[in-house]
Amino acid sequence: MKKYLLFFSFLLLALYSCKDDNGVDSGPAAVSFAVPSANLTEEVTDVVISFSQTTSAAGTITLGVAETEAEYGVDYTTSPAGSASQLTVPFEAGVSKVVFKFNKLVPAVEGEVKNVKYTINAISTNYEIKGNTTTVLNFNETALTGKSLAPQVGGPSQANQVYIDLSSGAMTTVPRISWDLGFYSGNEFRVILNNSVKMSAKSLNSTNLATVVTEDNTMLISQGSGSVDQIDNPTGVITGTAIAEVSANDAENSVYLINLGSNPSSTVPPLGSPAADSGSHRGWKKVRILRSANGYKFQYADLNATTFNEVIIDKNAAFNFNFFSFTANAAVNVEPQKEKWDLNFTTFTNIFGGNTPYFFPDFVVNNSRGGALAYSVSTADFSFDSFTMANVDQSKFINDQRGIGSSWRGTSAPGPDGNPMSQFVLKTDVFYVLKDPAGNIYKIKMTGGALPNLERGHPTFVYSLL
Amino acid sequence: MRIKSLIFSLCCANGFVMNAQVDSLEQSIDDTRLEELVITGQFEPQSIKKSVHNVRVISDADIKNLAANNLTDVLNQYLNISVSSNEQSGKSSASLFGLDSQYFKVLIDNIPVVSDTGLGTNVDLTQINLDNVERIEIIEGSMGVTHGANAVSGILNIITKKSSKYDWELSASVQEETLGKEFSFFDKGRHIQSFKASHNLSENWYASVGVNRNDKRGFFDDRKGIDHPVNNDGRGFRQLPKEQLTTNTTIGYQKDETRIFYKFDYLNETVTFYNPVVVPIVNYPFPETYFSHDKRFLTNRYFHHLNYYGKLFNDLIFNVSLSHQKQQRDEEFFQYHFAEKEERANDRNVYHSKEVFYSTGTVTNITKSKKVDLQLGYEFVNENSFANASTGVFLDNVSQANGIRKRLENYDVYAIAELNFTDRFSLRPGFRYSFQSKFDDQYSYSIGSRYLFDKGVEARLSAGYAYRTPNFDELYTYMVDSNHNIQGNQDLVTEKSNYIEANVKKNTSFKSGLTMYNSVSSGLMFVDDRISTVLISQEPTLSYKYINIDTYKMWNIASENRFGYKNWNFSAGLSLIGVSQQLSNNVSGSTSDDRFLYTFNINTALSYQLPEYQTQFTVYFKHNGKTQEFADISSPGESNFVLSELESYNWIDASVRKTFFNGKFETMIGARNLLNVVTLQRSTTSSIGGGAHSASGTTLLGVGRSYFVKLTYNLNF
Repeated sequence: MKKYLLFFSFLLLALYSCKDDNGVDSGPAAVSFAVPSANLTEEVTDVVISFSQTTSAAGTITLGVAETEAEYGVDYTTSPAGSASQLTVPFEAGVSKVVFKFNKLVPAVEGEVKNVKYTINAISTNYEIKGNTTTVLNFNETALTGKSLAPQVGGPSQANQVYIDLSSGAMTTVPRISWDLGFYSGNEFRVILNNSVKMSAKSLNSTNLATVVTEDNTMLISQGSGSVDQIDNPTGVITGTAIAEVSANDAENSVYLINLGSNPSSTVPPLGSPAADSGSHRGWKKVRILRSANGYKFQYADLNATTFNEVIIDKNAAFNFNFFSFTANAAVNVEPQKEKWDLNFTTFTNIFGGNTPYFFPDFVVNNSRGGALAYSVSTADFSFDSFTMANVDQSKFINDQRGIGSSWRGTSAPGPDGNPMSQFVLKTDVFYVLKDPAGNIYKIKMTGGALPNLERGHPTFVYSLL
Repeated sequence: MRIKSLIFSLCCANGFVMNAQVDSLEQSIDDTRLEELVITGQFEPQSIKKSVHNVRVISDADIKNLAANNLTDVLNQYLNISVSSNEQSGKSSASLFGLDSQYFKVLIDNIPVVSDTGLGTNVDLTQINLDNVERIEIIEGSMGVTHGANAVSGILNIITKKSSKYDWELSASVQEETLGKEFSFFDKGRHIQSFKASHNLSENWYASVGVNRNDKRGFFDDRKGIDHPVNNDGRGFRQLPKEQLTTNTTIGYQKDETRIFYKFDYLNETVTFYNPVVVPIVNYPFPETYFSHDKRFLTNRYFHHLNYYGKLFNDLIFNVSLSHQKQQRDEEFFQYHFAEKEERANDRNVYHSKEVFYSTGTVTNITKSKKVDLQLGYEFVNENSFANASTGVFLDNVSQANGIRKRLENYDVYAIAELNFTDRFSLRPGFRYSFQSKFDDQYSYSIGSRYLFDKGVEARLSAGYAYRTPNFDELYTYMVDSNHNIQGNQDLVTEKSNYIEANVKKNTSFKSGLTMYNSVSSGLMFVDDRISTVLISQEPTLSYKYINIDTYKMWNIASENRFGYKNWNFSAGLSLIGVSQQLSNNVSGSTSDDRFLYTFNINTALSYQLPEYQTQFTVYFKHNGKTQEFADISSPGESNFVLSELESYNWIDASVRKTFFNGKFETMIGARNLLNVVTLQRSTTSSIGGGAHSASGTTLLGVGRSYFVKLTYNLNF
């Protein structure tokens, strides 16, 4: 009997193994203002307070109030009603946000600093107060102090360019194929190509636009092919355009063969892959550009044409460029005014390895021509949350529109078999500092670029004014 | 015959298998010892000396001394085999004579064992558990007549235990192993538990059951494991965690000339891939939360085998096996959410599956003559295979990914004669004809001879022809889009192989008690119509197709030597393998250099036993020589074959085994990879133009020096 006991106790020892179950630890629920600041453009504004999880019980939130040149009951009221120092907002069980209404009674005078600042002081249930613990409501238009944005670049084909103005939170969306050439409005007489569709330009060393010319497939840009001399300098420096400066002397303005690049693909790629440049080829044009007073005389034709069209395009100092579309056969609006945008979410023809044009989806351009400059910060040096104005290094703002560029993401991940597979990979160890044309400095954290199912072309980011 | 089989079963019962490779504790060496019996490729179990085939044996003792849980653990030490592991999935496969596991067949009790993509071939060695194994027999070279398709470079036959001399045998063991320096009772290292019970139900009936759990946690190396929500390539494991549960059941019946057994083996395996990429979920104004796209592979294998051995009409001996086997590998995708430590959106699909109905049988003793015996045999194979689109790239004409489901059948018959001209000289010709459902009918043939000289000298000469059938990827891959054009080829024919081997060995016993075994063998192999992906055009896109085009030549010379003296046993093997492969590039019309590239291997084993302390010390050493091969890295307009070289390395395993209380309690401690080889350098140099292309990389070989402790409790009564 003893030996059985010994045996079975040994057996028990042998079968000791059991897995330690991972405990569920989702952290306590939290409460925050939806945004840290807002401009009161309407008479009545909804102020949103968010919960990180739906509330399990009803309760109240106690807000502190700090008034600047505004008085409760005179300049504004709230619903539910509060006082000059406190506002209590009740909430129900099972909600993910609660709203109070802010009624603006007396608008601000131009240039006046007039606002009301709310602070979450207490909540009756067991919630952590974090995120935007305060919100400032400005009676005048004032630079926003932060927000989360999701530019609609259009999924895997990334068919759109989205221009962002951080200070207003405004986003302007235009199809990438809506324009072909941009005529510079600054001092120089320069013309840019639409580098979001892989365009290229080559001088034909002739001034006769009526000559029939043929396509030149060496100009096409794909992996390992194309010439850096035929694309605009990717830094965005205006003197680096593929088309030489338009001379006052017409005889010096050559005919250029223009490769219009590729359309976004119309077919859906495998999840994880982009389809930004795999559409049909957009065709060819020949162009010649001359000066016309303080503007441009633009001549263009199909390759086999012996006649050509001509339009006059003036400079407009409020914009970086005036744009022209061969498809529309007319000048078109693309960029917002040059001081009204900071970032452009787009695709981009960059230079790779020094001498090869290389096409990048998921690119972010800063408006360097309008004065918006950006640089990256490693989380090894500063955390995003603790980064302040004192940490800004002004010397890092250099004149390059690729301050963010593609550095915020990778596009390949090791698969289960060890071989790399196409997948959007957000870099979580980097964030960015941007100085806008008005001199406001923001910190920007990219928070995503693909849907949970891996579909590309869904960027998101948060930013906050320093 | 009756006496022979009695001796055989006694041998089995004792676990008293004589072998000279490395001795077991129980074994004593003297001149009157029982002859070692082998089964593989024989009409009847017979002495290794009389076998016409050159059979190599890995004994139960070797398996014990290596604390081997699965085939990988033992084959690491086998001379001509090199074991390669996929560093990520932990799958490991054998290659023999430089030919991969598609040319090498793994059998359990003479039945090829199903794998994800093969029957006997492409076996993941880690999925072959060695818990109930008596010994392993290996025959190198062409075995197409006795073992059918794909037995090109050799076969490995695992002989399981089917009887016991005790009424009850119970055994339980635990084995704890480090993975390199990593170990903890739950989250790191390798943890094995096993339990076995066998019982003689009556004079005629025998039953045994066994369970084995092999829990190999992930190998971290510099990685951070599961809960690491940062995108810096830190998440996950260097080697994936793998958990296996195997069970084996045997029921045996034996009466007079009749022996019947039924075996059921079950394998359940889970391998989980933790993606290094973490995906944020925007939750503004709250901080982002993260999840990862993870994936696990779940494998189930069911192996049924019913065997009936008996006599017909008093004389004819028949041996029939029926087998049904199924292996299915599923892939399950899921999202791992870090905040909640929770899996969501689980989605499970079949990845590979293979179901096999198999039967083989032989009739012998037809002539009733000692001089001439004839064996007639058949082998029926019905395989139903499925491969998910994501396993290869199987697209249809509108580029939709499609799984491939195919049934392959072959019905083979074969005849082998054993002509014993004298007691010394035997000749063994054989022929097999195979009726194939998918391919043209095939055949194989072989001829073997053996001569026994005086003074323990044996000589063998054999030759054979065997074939390999094309696999799924080779037949059905279809990946055509704007950038790719890779196509399988349903018109592929089988690869054809010829092999010749000569072998001389000598057993010597000296009065001093020294015993010596020396063997020299040399073989030559040609494989024609080798299948390869070949660039067939460059316009408009690079197009590749699988074609029967390459040739492969191999010759080797190997010597195996064993010495026994008192409590010492020593063995040493040397092997030189030369491979010549010509690779062709259809577009440029160029071919690679076809000179022979050589690999030199050495294995040695030394054991010493202290009977008074019931203790045994064993050290195994293997030198794996540098390996070279040509690779085609041609680009459009330029053909380029490069020589890729993997550096040599040495591998040492060592163990100490001690038993207590009359063998009831057994302890073992040991180390694997004592020299701590972790990575190997692979270099590539250009063979044309010289130096224009060169690259190097490292290959992860293993987890580094690891230690194990094994405790076993045996209760026999």
